[in-house]
Amino acid sequence: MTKDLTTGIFAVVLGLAYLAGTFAIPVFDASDSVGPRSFPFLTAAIVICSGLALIVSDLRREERKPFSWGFVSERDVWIKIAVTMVASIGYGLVLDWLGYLIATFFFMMVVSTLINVGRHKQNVIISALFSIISFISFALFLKLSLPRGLLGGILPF
Amino acid sequence: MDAIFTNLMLGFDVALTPTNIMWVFIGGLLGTVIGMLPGLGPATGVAVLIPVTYGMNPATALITMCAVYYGAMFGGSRASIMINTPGDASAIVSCFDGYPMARQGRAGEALAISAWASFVGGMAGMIFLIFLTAPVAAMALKFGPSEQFTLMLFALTATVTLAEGSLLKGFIATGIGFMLATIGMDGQSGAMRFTMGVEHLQDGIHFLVVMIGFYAVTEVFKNFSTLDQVVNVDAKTIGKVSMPKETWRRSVMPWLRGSPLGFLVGVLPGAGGTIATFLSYAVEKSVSKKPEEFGKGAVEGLAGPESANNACSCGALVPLLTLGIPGSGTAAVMLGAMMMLGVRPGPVLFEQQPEIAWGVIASMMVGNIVLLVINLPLAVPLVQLLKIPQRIMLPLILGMGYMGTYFLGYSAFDFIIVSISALAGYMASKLSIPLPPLVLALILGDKTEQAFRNSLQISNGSFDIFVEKPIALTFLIMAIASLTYAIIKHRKTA
Repeated sequence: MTKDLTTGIFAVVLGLAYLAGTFAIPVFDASDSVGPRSFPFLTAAIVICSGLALIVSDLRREERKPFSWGFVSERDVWIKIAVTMVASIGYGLVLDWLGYLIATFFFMMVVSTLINVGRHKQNVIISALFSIISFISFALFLKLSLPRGLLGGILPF
Repeated sequence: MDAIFTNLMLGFDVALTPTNIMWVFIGGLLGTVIGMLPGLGPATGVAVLIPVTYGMNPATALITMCAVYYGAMFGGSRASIMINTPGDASAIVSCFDGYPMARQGRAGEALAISAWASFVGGMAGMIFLIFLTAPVAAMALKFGPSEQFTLMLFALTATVTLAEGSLLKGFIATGIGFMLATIGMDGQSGAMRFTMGVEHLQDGIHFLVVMIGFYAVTEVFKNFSTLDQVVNVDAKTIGKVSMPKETWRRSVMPWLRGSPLGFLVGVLPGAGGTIATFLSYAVEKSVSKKPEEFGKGAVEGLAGPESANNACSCGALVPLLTLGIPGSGTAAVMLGAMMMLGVRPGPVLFEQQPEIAWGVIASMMVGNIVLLVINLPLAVPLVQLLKIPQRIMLPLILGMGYMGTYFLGYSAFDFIIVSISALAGYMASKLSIPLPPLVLALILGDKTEQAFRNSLQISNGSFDIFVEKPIALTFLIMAIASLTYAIIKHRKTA
């Protein structure tokens, strides 16, 4: 598989899925002669046609350079990406419950530990300073609403 | 002429308040710092610093973001000159002659050339911008749906054809951008489209959330592979940050050539600083009597592209402010931020909120002077910031990115969208799928569809409406011409 072939196949599959979704759009406004399906239909056509053209042009090429996602050679990078994604989604889910200060501290601890490996003291300081300074800046100075969560009754401001 | 002068004075009234001057300084400094960090460009800078503007009035917020943008443009070449690692793609050219100058013990001179060239390019760009915005905005007021549709079609095709990489991948990226833009309730018929039953998707995807994913988090992902990079910057070797007489003499003409060239490239949607700087470098090399010096520390090789780069950033503001069409990735992020602040860029902005439009323009002139003051005497301490390891900066950028996302909608669901966008952005970079066409299509998707449908409703379904009106026909011809040019170029290189 080359880069172009991978992209082409991805585009065709995505375009077909989108096209199927286009047919599922309800049409009930008689005054709208063009309708809500026409633009998505054109979009699907552009993506599918471009994908097919990319596949054909790639298969015709004599020199084809294999493409790798690097799941093995760049294993560390992919693991870091996966952990960051899970941590950030988890951060969003617990933000209201734990409150901004605690949730942000833990999120920053996770990503700092992941990126700044082995420097635990430094990571604790960075995480604590980031959450406290950003909380004070946004909640106190810019008067933005930030969830207080578990610390709601303890925080003096 | 009088109207321009009056408007500019109104702008200076807004820009020269102590609060706005303070934010120009803070924004410019923060932008310079982010712009000079390897791998992080102006778009990342503006994306992660958006939260700083929350709670401000729209004019101050926009002035701050413009200062960040400008600061990042000034700072972008510091890393190119000192460590041969560009802050972003548009600073690549600065490596060609800036780094050899630093290796010859002329780092101070190179930093001074870069700062002065950025200043001259920025000032020249601002003057062009001042004289061009009013007529373009006035003309754009006359646009109906068919003109708007063909204009956006041209902007999109120009972005695809001018973006780096394959033309077909550019079209795929545009299509994906449209796909994302069509998610949610259809504004005209009220039909739900592609929501897959997810309640959070009914209002559509906020494009700023996607852009924080693409421009802040994806950049962090890309930097995961270079965490162990050690940067050695020795302040003692920089020398005096100033330009000798001979350097001034050799810089003037490259500035005068680079500034208008960069501005013109900036006005074109999707062209951006990378094309402007490479073009300027090619021009300087071709007119030079000593082309063999290029790549070995030629003053002209640094002065021209640096002025072109900053003039280009001013050019990108013309379509953004007057037509609501971003000319670059950074302008796209700024457009998102403007809409978040309730400011709708376009011709009406100059009529209904002139204090914002002209305040921003005037503030950029002030910002140019402030940044020169920051970048000349503070060049040495600023360069020291290159020593801050990525290991410390990257978690902070992630923290800022997600914090900004939360403020956009106070929704945990947006964190999922940011994370998926960041992963998609990383995979797109692996597959060499250009992001600018995707981002532009995502931003303009809704407007493009509305203009398309309104045009066809007016014409009772006839496509003749796009060729019957002269302005619409002109944009259509420009779109076809840009595509034809790209296809011919593609065949020649294949």
